[in-house]
Amino acid sequence: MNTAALTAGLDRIPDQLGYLVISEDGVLASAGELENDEHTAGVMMQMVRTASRFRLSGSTDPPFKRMSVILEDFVYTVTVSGQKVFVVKRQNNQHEPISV
Amino acid sequence: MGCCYSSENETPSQDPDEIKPLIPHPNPVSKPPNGTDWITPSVPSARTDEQALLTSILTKTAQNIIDVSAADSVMMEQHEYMDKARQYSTKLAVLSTSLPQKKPLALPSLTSQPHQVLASDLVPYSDVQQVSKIAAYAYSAISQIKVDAKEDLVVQFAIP
Repeated sequence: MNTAALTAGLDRIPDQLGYLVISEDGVLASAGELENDEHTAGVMMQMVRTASRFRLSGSTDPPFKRMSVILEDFVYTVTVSGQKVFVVKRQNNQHEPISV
Repeated sequence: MGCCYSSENETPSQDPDEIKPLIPHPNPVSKPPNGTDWITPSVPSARTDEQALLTSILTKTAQNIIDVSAADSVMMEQHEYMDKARQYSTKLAVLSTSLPQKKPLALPSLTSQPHQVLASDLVPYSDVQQVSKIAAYAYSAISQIKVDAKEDLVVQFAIP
């Protein structure tokens, strides 16, 4: 699968600020605020590797499809497909509801 | 601390002398079948379910822990002790060379639709708030667990 096929559609994700596509060998593609961000790539790889080892009792599959690292102003959404890790940095528009 | 791996399978290739326990188990009770909880024989009706649960955990732990200092001291001759030590280190040396190198676990695929999954709605703020509150409660509870040290944890085997 060439890089264009991997990244096509990632830049159309709503509120996206950047993305990374990572394999076991390293970063395959990066864009936006995550362009060349190998540090974030390393951190996300470690987090998703740890998270994908969790199992709910009686199940053999990881119990989640997407990992979200939620920070104040933005969210890293992470998933794994075909031995590749996809990270998309998105705007966090979910805040404390403001009562007027 | 804790158990990383345990197995009840008997490996037929093991020399029985290698796996002979050095300390006889002071409480030779068999495990309850099918891994069910050990039922405490008499639970006073005044206790809440939580108390009963706590008691059963304490009883199960007490039965499974081997108190080395309380067990009968092993009477071993000096040469027997040296022989055993040599036997163990030889076996370890053999095992460490024959064990395959641990390969990093391959990442399991979480989805076949990465774009769709990543584009989906973000986790609702109310869910995040709830999970944060639960985590805070759990953290508070765990930080209140204390060890009440009464005796020495490490004791010497009685070797004459």
